[in-house]
Amino acid sequence: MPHRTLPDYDNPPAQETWMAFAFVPLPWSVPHFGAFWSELREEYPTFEVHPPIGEFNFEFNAVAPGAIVNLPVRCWFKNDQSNRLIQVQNNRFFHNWRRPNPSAPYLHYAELKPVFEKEWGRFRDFAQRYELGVPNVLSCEVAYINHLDRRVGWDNFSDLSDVFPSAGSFEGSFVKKPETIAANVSYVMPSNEGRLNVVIQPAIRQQDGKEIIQLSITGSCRPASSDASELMRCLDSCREWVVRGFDDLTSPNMHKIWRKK
Amino acid sequence: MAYTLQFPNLFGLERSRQDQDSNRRQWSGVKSLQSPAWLKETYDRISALKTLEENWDSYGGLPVADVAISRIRVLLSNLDIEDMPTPHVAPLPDGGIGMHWRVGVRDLEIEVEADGSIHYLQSIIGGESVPGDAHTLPEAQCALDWVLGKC
Repeated sequence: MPHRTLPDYDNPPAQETWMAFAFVPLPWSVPHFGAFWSELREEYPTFEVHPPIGEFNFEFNAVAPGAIVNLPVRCWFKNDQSNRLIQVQNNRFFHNWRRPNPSAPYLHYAELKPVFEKEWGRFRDFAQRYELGVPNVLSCEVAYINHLDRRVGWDNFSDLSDVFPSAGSFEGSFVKKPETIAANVSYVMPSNEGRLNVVIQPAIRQQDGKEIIQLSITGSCRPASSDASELMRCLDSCREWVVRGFDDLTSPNMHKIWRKK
Repeated sequence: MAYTLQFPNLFGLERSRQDQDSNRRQWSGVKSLQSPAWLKETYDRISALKTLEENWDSYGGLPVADVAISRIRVLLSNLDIEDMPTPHVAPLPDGGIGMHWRVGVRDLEIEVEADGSIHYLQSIIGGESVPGDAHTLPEAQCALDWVLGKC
């Protein structure tokens, strides 16, 4: 791959980032969650059970002889510092990293990608050892959740142009100024390889109750195969789109605040 | 007897489902400032209380404490308030903030004191009043749910 220099910041507003693979459903059942957790437990000692991502059916025939129930479940496995999370369901695998608090240091992609690679390898090995098959990966995803605190470079939820120079005012002669603006925008990558999704949401951070704009940028790509090298190439491609998209859509004034290098 | 349940597309809200799916990938907790519809306006009212100076009520009322503002914001961002009507927000003479809801004959006053402690008073109009302390978010949630007849 040619060497590309991506925009970089000393103090980016990223609060959370995740990498994920979606794959053809494995014959994964409840005991597999426990067996997999026993292999992670030293590093990820706590868990939560959540509904799965995506559409799912829940069928059961309670009185039929030999009735079998497969519960649609996604399990979270969290580390002690509460800054790393693994999410597993029968057709998805995620590794999330988040800042434990808004002022904690930021971990770069170069530090997080090897962690994801290691955890994915562990999951893949587990699936093979338990005769669930090799996950056939359908899409790769890299996402950055950015928290833009109010009064740090911007003030008005009804005028996002201080942060996003391309954003419109949505002001009319009858409706006047909006109270808040949210946006959900998607871009197609070249050769239809994938998409970049940008979500702008006025929000409150639950940890400290502060008003923010949450800027979520997600790159997703379809890999040509499930080979490790192809999957990692796809992640790099998603990440490049996320970083370039972030830099492209946000204002030079905000870049100064985030100390663009 | 056989059952088939399909989730989460119960109401055919495809766009909404996609948004929720996206949010559910996320770990760090945020609450949309657009829901409930009154949240932004209420936040602005709370922010405006910061400008009050000592003796704002001409009876020696104290300025609203930063701790009370911060605490009430965290409260609003962590409680399930989707079904609640717009609260009435007012400063308290000791530097705290009060919020008041009325649903039918049920009244709820929540007071966040200057030190961040939270008290509430549940009243039935023309009936009895029950005071309480909310030391945890579930306790505060229970007080809110009472107004809607859920708790």
